Amino acid sequence: MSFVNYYTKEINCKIVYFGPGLGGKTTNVKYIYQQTSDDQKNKMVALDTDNERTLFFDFLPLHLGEIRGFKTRFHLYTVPGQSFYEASRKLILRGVDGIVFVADSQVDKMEENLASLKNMEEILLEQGYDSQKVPTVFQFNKSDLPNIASVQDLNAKLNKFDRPFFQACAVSGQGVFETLKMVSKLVLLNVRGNLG
Amino acid sequence: MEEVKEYFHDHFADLIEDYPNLGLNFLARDGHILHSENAIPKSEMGALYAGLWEASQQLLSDEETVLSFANSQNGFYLLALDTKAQFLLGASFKNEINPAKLKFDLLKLVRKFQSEFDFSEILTPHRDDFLFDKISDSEMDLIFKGMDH
Repeated sequence: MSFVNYYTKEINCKIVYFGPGLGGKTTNVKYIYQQTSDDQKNKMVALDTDNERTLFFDFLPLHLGEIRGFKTRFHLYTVPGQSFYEASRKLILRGVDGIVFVADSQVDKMEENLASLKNMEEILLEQGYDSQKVPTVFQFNKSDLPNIASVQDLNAKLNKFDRPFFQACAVSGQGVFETLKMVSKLVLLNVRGNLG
Repeated sequence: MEEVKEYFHDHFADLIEDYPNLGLNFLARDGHILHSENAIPKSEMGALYAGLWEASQQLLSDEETVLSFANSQNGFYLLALDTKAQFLLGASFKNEINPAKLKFDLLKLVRKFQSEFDFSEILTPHRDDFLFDKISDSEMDLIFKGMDH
């Protein structure tokens, strides 16, 4: 959960990129890392396999600007998308403040998107979260590819609570920062001043 | 929170003096580093410690678990600071002549810390209200200022 330190005037939040395997979660975080100046980030940690599939998590700490005198610190995590890393996903969602659900827009990936979304909701429920109350943004990634589902169709099937959504092409960066900015705003609006 | 840091500092000060190559990170279970002694507070360390702790708990459910990874002179220990393991202590050391003694001394101090420290100070939220009721687009732009997008 988020930490607010009134003495140092800092807000710390945890944002998790969730979604099916090969959907572009790591690509999002890598793009953010590449486009961020050195004074705004620490080292990115990627615990992945030899073929660059996420094994445990990716982690990127961002030190962004201030809001009303509070410095903002966002910790970005990705989960491993492959189904057999269920245990890892549970660990990483612990203490989450906001979620970016990275869906693969290709028509033939809809089943994987739905399975991943169901898995996310189950984990949140198991950990005592009301998934409707967790700040969440949908990102419909790979929008540059042929044979993609329409935004209406993606929203109808995945975005049942009318969350904010963005079309994206994480490889080129399209939609990446828009998504991050929106989830950050939702997370900040949800922060409770809980650590004096 | 500052009182917590001060208490933590005082509690482990002698240990740091005895083991100058020892670095301590006091962190919440989700990886946020709350305080560091003799170590640069690196958020990636917090994420890695928390990930290791969670993974080890899945492999071996035991409240008394101490996670240790070391060779004869370099390594780290990870210990729960409270009974529910909501707060952790990550201790890393380098070029230590007697890691076993260090581990023993550290465990003694952690047990003392567990019995003396009032965790309700940091477990109980001080404020329940939302910090911000509205955030404008220009405020968000300021937060993201300098990012190349």
